[in-house]
Formats: sequence, structure tokens, C-alpha cells
Amino acid sequence: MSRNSLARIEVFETSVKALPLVFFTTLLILPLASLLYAPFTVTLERGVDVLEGLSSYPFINRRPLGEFIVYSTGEPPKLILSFKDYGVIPNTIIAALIVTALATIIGTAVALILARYTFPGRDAMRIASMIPLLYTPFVNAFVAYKLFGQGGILAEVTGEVLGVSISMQGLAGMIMAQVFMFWPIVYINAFASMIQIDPSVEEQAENLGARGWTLYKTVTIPLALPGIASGAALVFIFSMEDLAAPLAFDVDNVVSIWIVREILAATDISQVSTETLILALMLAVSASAWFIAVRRYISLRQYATAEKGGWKGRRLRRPSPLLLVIIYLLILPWIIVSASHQIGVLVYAFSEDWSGLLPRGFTLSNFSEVLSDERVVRSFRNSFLYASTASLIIALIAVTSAYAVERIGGRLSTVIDVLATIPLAMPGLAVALGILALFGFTVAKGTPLDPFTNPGLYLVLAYAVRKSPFTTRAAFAGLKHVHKSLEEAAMSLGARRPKVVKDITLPLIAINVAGGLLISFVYSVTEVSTSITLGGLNEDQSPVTYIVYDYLTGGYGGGMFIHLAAAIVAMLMALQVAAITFVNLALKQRYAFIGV
Amino acid sequence: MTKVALDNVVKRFGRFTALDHVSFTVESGEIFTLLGPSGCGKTTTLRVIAGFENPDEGKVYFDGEDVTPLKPYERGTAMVFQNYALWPHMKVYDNVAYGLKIRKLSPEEIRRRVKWALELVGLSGLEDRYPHQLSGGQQQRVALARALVVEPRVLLLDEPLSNLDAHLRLRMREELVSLQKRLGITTIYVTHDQEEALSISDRIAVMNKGKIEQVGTPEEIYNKPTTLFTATFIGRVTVIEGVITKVIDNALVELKGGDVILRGFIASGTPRPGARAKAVVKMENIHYPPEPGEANRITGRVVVSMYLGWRVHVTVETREGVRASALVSPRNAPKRGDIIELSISPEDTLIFVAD
Ligand SMILES: Nc1ncnc2c1ncn2[C@@H]1O[C@H](COP(=O)(O)OP(=O)(O)OP(=O)(O)O)[C@@H](O)[C@H]1O
Ligand SMILES: [Mg+2]
Repeated sequence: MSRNSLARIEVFETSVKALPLVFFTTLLILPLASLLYAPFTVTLERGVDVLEGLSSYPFINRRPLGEFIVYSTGEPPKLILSFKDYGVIPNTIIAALIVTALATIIGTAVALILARYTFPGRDAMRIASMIPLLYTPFVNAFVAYKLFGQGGILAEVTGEVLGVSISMQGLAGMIMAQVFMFWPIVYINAFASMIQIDPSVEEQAENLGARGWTLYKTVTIPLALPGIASGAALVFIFSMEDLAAPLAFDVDNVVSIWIVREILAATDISQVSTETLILALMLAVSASAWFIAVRRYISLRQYATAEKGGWKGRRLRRPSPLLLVIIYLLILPWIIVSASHQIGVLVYAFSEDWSGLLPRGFTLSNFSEVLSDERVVRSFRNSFLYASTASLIIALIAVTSAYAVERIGGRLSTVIDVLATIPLAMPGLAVALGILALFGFTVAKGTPLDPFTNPGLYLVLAYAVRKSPFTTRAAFAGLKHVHKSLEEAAMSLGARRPKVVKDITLPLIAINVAGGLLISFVYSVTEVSTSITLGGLNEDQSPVTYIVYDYLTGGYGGGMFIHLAAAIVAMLMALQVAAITFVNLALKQRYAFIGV
Repeated sequence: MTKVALDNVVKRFGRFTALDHVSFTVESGEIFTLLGPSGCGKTTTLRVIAGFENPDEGKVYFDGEDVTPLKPYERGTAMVFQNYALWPHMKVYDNVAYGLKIRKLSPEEIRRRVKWALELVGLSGLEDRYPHQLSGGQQQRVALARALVVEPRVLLLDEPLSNLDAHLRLRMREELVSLQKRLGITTIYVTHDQEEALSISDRIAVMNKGKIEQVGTPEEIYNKPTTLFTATFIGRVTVIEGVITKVIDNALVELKGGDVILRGFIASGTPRPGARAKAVVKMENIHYPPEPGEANRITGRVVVSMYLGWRVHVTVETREGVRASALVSPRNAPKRGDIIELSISPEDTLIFVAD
């Protein structure tokens, strides 16, 4: 900055920067910091008790219980993959590491094959590999249970065919379900990176004699590493905060379940144990650490919009016979099974009963039943209200953050850049608990501002924080395409900054922002973590995903309610398909829907 | 009519100094051109004048008034960008009217002036087109109309013709000059095309590595370069390195480079025998066949003979390996391998003494 410009304070520039700073500080930083405050004072009082508590059962299990494989004789005999219970904290970390490793290997391999080879069925596989990215809260994991849980399809089929019924339970099942749910996140990021590699770079390497695996190992994968790494980081974070898979496989001892149970049982922040606050804080800190580490390495937003690459298809080659066999025997079934979560949701939604191998009784009654349930209708209304209000806030925050980072610059803009993108990686459970810790203090008790009785307001704010990155990235991408000289031309003709923004900048990025807002809106409606925690505190204000959760966890008695839950989720899927199609076709933007 | 002055302007980007104590004065109503190689700081200079960049040191004056602290929108300049920067969401009319609306003129006044400006650049009738429905030359003229319509104090043009094809560029060049002369707006023009600079400018500032090398009329810049950079950057030249062997008087010296001995006039530096120096001669002043009255002679074997159409570029190499190039009429061009003699007048031989 030069001396000349320091002389004059820019009101507009300052406000544009202040808005996102204040917003994220109040709704993200301070809530997370409050998580620290309570444990700190309690720890001062109770001394080392808390740390001792956290280092013993159930948090850390020094004598792990259970077996990795359970074999039981019978007709047919059963082989059940299981896992030892190491306690809440190690379970969560071990599971997240295994899920991340497997999802990364699988996602990268599939991306490499779909990005570099051509073979019959490739396009169908590419489209099918996007299906798992449709968000189907909770029900997806229950479909996974149906697939390879006890008494599931895998068990039935192997029992018939092999004479041994193979299934999974507990942590092993949870890990398997998460790999199924999350591998496409790595895939989509790796794929986006790979198609952006300049073909001549690979051709040059080939020209120098690198072929096949050597070429991929030395050129392609290293160049795609930013995408792979960011996908992997997101998977690690999503695994830690996932609720669906542990619920479906009845795993109690993981951090996410622990936190939710405590929140839903509390009527006041003082009833939440110090240990839980520390767990939430650990979630937040490790997620931020991953996020920042990956960002230091690459900038996350770089492939937020994969629009640049375009499928040039120039580097496509034919696979060798061996590879072709692998593609059809391993990759294809894998993709089909992955997409079967979404298919399974539809099967549940349109059937009367699916307790055997095949579903029975095609019906629309699940839909009519949920739509005539006043509780469901109200929850839909709540969700739409919260999501649209949040979208208004998001519009403001996203445009100001993007403008501050891309156009105004300066030292604080780096801070804004991180704040505006980190919510994507921040576990919603930590955000929810943080909001309760910050706004649920005793003076708010009984007032309309008490989140324990009036969570709706906080859900709006939580959605606005958590789902703003989709719009921010879109606005940012829009700004990148509006050459600075378009704004400078107006300025040189005498227009001040606010006028330039109104006349030139906003009209030119409006389409991007609209597309981003639609995505933010849809992902707000399907949001889970804060919805089922904050949203469960007052039934009148519950959003729709809470009702799904409630159906599946037995608020309604469990069992057949999965068909009703699936009907709701099927409607949410339709909403997503409609929104994404609209953004892609009508607004002509390509969204890699990596946020999930 | 505005007189523009830069006084020791310094602009740094991080540790890199883009402008290094740049000073010059642009008289009111003149076309003043910044000419220099890519990356020398031309655009940066223009942006400092427009107010898009704040100089780290130094001042910018309009008519003696210090405008350095003023924002771009307070300076009354109008810039035409290299990419034209037309607003794609506005029609031609709205693009041109924008600056007038900012100035809150009455609708009739706006309509009248937009009409005038579009007529001026020969675009009447295209008001309702969007920029993407225009050809490159038309877009360029809209950009010009948009700048002119506000009657700026200073018109800033950043390589406005560089995106046009060669033909259109020549035509627009002429139109631009006649328009500017008619309106008399002080104009600062940026280009890296020396022919363009020489043909349109009242005066030229030659820039190199963030510094002003020389300011002068096109004739002065071309014929009386004061720095080695200007001498070699403008026109096609032959450079012969050597040592000064004789100082005949304060201006005239003799230089020996290999087996070539030339007499020439000092363009810069203090002559003394034994000093290293370079002789720079414009190729068109090197003659073949040699002209009888010209004292400097170079004899060598033709090593290059390149046909350019209007001339043949001929390079000879002397026995000791000194090379010199001339532009020779195709009618009497020598062939490769011929041994020929070239002649140069000492008046056309400029000597730059190394310091
Ligand atoms: N915003 C910036 N940040 C860092 N360096 C810059 C910036 N703008 C310009 N520079 C550097 O300053 C130098 C001068 O740039 P400038 O754009 O003025 O060159 P120019 O003479 O207009 O070149 P060209 O003919 O290629 O347009 C260049 O080396 C450029 O890299
Ligand atoms: Mg330039």
C-alpha cells in the first residue's frame, strides 16, 4: 500500500470487508471458541478429572472388546466381519483413516480409468459415478445395511451360493458404508484435476519414454494430487462427523453419535458434559487442521468450479485386455453398488415391504402417508423457510467475501478467504454445539433467543454459515471472469466503487450467484448435523431432515418407518436433481457437487 | 485542455520497481506516446495517470494541480483499454451513455451527446447492438466513443490498435489522429509499435525497464537518439563495437572495430582515446553501391541476403569478422559470397561511448 492511498479511508471497501468478517466471527469463530471456554473453567475446578475422563472408558478403551471376525455355525454358517471397540476417540480416528485410505485409492483409480480410457459403457459409468453424490441423508446408510448388514442381500446371496453367509456389523459395517458413501468425493476431485492436465505435459513424458503405470505414477497422479488431497481431506472430515452409517450399523462408540445423544438429551447448556464439548472442539480443530494443511498445498477453490477443463477427450486410449477385465469385473460392479444407495432409497420409497431379498408391493402410499402427516408437512415448510432466509443472508455474505478477496485484497482478505471457505470442512456438530454454548447461556434462558427453546433462528444462521461456500465459490468464479478493466473503465468515467459494483460487477456475476444460491438452498434443505441437533430441541421448529432421523431412530417406533423416511428422502433427491439440472442446463454452469 | 506532468514517479510491485523516477510533461492538446518494449512499464505509467495505481513516490499534476491523492473517478481522465473493456451486458448506446449518466446530464443532453460521439467514430445506427455483435474495429470505436463522449481532460489509450488486423490498424491510426486533432484533447498513447508511435505522435517518450530513456519529437527520436537503447530500439540498425582511436574535435571521433575504421559523431558519453564505444548506423544509411562522397567504408563478403520485397537485407562480414547490414535496392542486390564495399556518411554514424 502506498502512502498516498492511506490518507483516505474507504467506507465502501471497509464495509465490504467488515460484513463477512463480523458474520463469520460471530457465527463460527466465537461459537467454536465458546466450546473451549466451558471446559477451561470446569477443568480449572475439577483439575485433571476431565482429562482422566477422556482417557478412560468409554472414550478410550484400554482393553478393546470384541473380535474382528465372528464365525458362527448354523444353517448356513455365518461369517461376520466386525471390529474391536477401542473406545469413542480411537474408533472415530481409526475408522476415518481407513475410510479415507480406501476411498482415496478407489476414487483415484476410478478417476484415472474414466479420465484416460475409452471403452464401451464409459459414459454411462461416468454418469452413474455421479449418482452417489446425490445426498440422501440417513437412508443411504440404511440401504448399505440392507446390502451387506446382517440378514442383508449379501448375506442371503453368499449363503445360497457359497454355503457361508457373509455380512458385516458394527464398526466394520460402518466403515464399509462410509467408503461407499464417500469415495465419489475423491473421484470427482481427482477427475476434475486430471482432465485439466494439459495433454502436452503427458505427451512430453511419453515422448521421453514413460508409459502406462510409470506415466501415471510420475506425471498424472502428481499433477492431480491437489484434487486427490482435497477430496481425501473432505472424506476424513465427513467420516468423523457422519451419523448415518453408525446409526444404521448400531455403532454407539463414535464421536458423532456421542455428541448428538448429549445435545438431544439436554435442555440447557450446563447439562452438556465437559467431555462432549472437548470432543466437539477436537472435531473442529482436526477438521480445520486438515483443511488448512490441504489449502496450504493447493487452494481449494481452484477446482471448486471444474468448468474450465471441458472434456477434451484428447488423451483417451484403449485399455489393455487385462485392464478391460478389471474395469468390467471390479469397477463397474463397484459403481453400480455405490449408486444402489440412491436406487435403494427409491426402492424403499416405492415399496410396501423390503425385508426379504426382493421388495414387495409397489405403492405410492408412502408418499401420500408422509404428505398427509402434519408433522412432515410442517417440517418441509420449516426447512424451506429456513433455507430461503439463509439464502438471502448467503447472497450478501458470499458476494462481499468474494469481492473482498478477489477485488479489494489487502491483508485481511486472506483471513476472509479462509473464513469463507472453511465452513465446508467444519463439522456441523461442532458448529451446532458451539452455537448452543455461545447463545444458550443462562441470560438467554426463557427468552425468544434461547436456542434450546427457539432453535429456528439459529438453524437459519447455521445454514447460512455452513452452506455459504457454494455461493461464495460461484461468485468468486464469476468475478474471475469479469476482467478488472470492465470495472476500471467505469471508474475512469467517473463512477465510484459502489456504483461500479451495482452497474457493472453485479449484473455480470448475477448468473453465477444465482446458481450458487440454488445449490446453497438445496444443501440447506438437506443439511443434517445442525438440523437434527438444534432442530430436535423443539419439535415445532424441526426441519425435514430431523423427521427423517426421527423416523429411523425410533421416535416413531422404527421398523417399517424406513419406507416413510425413504419417501421423504426421495423427494429431497428430486429437489437436488432439479436444482443441479437447472444450474447446469439453464445457467450453463458446471458444478462439481463436491460439497455433499 | 489539460497539461499533464509526472514528477519523479516511482512504482514498486513488491520488490520489483516497475517505474523508476519517471518524469515528463505532456503539453495540452498534444498526442504524447509512451513507446518501449513489453514489460517496460508503459501500462503502469498510464494507470498511475488514471489513478488506478498509487505511486510509491512522486506526483502527478494536471494543469499544475497535484492529482496524486485523487481517485480515478475524480480525475476526469478517460481510458481506452487494450481489450476495450466494453460492458457485455449493455448495448452500444448504454456503454457510451454511461459516463454521461454518472455526470447526471439530462436525458436529452445524453441522447444528443451519444449521437454526436457515435457519429464522430462512424458508428451511427449501431446503438442497439451488444458488444459481441460488433467486429473488432467497431468495438474499438465504441470504446473510443465511450471515452470521448464525456469530454475528458485527458484521454488515455493503452495499445488501442493492437487487437486489430494490419489493414484496419492503419486506417484506425489515421482516424484516431484526425479525430484527436479535431477535438484537441490531451492524449497519452501507449504502444510498443515504433512505426505507430512515429506516425501519430507529436512527441514520444521512449521507455526501458521502468525508466524514461528519451523524450522528443518523432524526428528527434529517430534521427538524434541520445541513448544507446533508443538508438538501437528505433529503426533497423547496424552496431559496430570498437575502441576510440582518435578524437578529432569534441564531437567527431574515429572508432576502430576489428578491421573497420569509422568516423562518427558523439551521441553520448565523453570521448577519449582508448575508450570502448559502439557505432550505431541506421541500415538505410548504409549504402550499396557505395556513394562517392561518404568517407566511411566497410568491405566484406556477403553472408546473408534476405529478400524483403521493397528492399533486400544484406549482411556482410569483414575479414576480421565484423558484421554490418544494409537495406539494398532489389535491382542491384549482390549475391551471397560476393565481396562488396558499403559506404556510410560520418553524419549518420552515431558513437555511444561506454562509461
Ligand atoms: N500488479 C502487478 N504486480 C506485480 N507486477 C506488476 C503488476 N503490474 C505490472 N507489473 C510488472 O511491472 C512491469 C511493467 O508492467 P506494464 O504492464 O506497465 O508493462 P508494459 O510496458 O505495459 O508491457 P506490455 O507492452 O507487455 O503491455 C512488468 O514487469 C510487470 O510484470
Ligand atoms: Mg501494457
